[in-house]
Amino acid sequence: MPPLSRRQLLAAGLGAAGTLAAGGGLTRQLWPLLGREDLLPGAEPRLTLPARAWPEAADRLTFAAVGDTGSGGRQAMAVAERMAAGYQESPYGLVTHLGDLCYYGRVEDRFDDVFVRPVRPLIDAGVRFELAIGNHDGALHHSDESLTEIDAELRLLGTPARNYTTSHGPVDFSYLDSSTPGLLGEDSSAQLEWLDDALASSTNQWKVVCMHHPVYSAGAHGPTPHAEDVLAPVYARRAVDLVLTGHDHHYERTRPVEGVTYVVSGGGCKTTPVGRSRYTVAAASALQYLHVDVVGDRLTGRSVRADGAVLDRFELRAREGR
Amino acid sequence: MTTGIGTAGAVAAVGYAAAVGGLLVAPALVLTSAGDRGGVSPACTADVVAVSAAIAGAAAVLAWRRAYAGDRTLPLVGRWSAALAALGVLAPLAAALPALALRTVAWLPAEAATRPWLTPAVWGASLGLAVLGWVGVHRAVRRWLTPAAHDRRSRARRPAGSVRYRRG
Repeated sequence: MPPLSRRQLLAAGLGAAGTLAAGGGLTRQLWPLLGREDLLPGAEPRLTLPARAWPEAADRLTFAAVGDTGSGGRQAMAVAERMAAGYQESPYGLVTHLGDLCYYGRVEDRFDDVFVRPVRPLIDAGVRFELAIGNHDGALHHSDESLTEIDAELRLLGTPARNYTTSHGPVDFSYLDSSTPGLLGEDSSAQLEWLDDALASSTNQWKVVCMHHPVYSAGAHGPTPHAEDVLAPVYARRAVDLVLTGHDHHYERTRPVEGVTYVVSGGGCKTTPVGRSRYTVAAASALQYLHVDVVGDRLTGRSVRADGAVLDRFELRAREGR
Repeated sequence: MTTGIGTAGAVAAVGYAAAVGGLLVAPALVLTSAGDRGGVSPACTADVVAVSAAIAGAAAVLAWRRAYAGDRTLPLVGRWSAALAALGVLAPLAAALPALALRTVAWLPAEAATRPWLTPAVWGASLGLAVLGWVGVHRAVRRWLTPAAHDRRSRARRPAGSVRYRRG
């Protein structure tokens, strides 16, 4: 073999280093990124659902809860299709959306792609959607631009405000915009006061809070800073039954923490890994939504994966005196 | 000049071709695996896997020819340095370009509903670009490493009797 020139040596070294850097570094970051996102556009569900087929009674409510659906991709369509199939089996008139309605662009441009097309069967059946604002609907820290985005979402969905309450059958829902500043920032007193008042004046049998950022999570984002200190005491004091959140792209349920059960239902179109915290009783990294039936003093929930498998089932009993 | 091609060279060339093919098909398999983990059928990504496999197959043949059956007048170290450098470029391009293409083409979801060929086409085009980048880097590094050999090859390719004019 002839002696190597300086140029050949340099190239050999650079070639080997480049391959190692690309294979070991860049690619190792890019492949998980591909796996985390939902970039392949999907065809919308073709189901036709019977309109307003859910039972309406003062002591009954069936609803679905899903978060982080905003890709318009194939995985989002698969979850939406499963939600439609869930409606066929057990019709519901309400979907609580736990935030992040739109990824990869502005909601004004993408509303049809990320919302209307995936859930068209449910919209056509007359199902109502109520939204808790998420960080991708604006930003974790609100700016003028993000507030414009949030206003657009509220208008498009017909949602009254960033923080609001609704009442359906035996359940009172409180919806919070959990971005900062506001609920968890320095100037949180006004919003917390509103929340405390809303929960205190709630007289229904069940109290459910819907917000984007989880108080407890063993997932990629983890528990939201300050949420446990700021929000958990309010929820415990006001005897909230269930707190529904998204943000982390997995399913997770805690054991009751001072009487309050916390659920992350953020597998609306993407998945990220999840571990277990000291509160976790069920967790799965999966594309899913939560199907909830309330009948009198009994609330049952099941987390349904995109292929129809049930990931978790739980039951809560109404608090004494309600 | 010795080229050092033998059984070991053939095995290395097959390995290189497999690496090139693997890098091109891996992003689609990552998507399939992520969907499968989340509860979505692998059939959901069958179109992009098929396109990736077709491009990966063609690129693997090209890679084998370049590493083994290509121009043996170039020194072994030059050939493999170019091959490694090109592989280092292909790896991130094959993952990043399809993701970037789908992410930037925001109109695609609405269009894809009526044109199911559009997504595999965009995916395939971006993988094709990655292959072009790989070939380009491979060629450039080989030329940079062996300018004399390249000149000799260029002269050899020139038809006999052709006249080349030079100013001056």
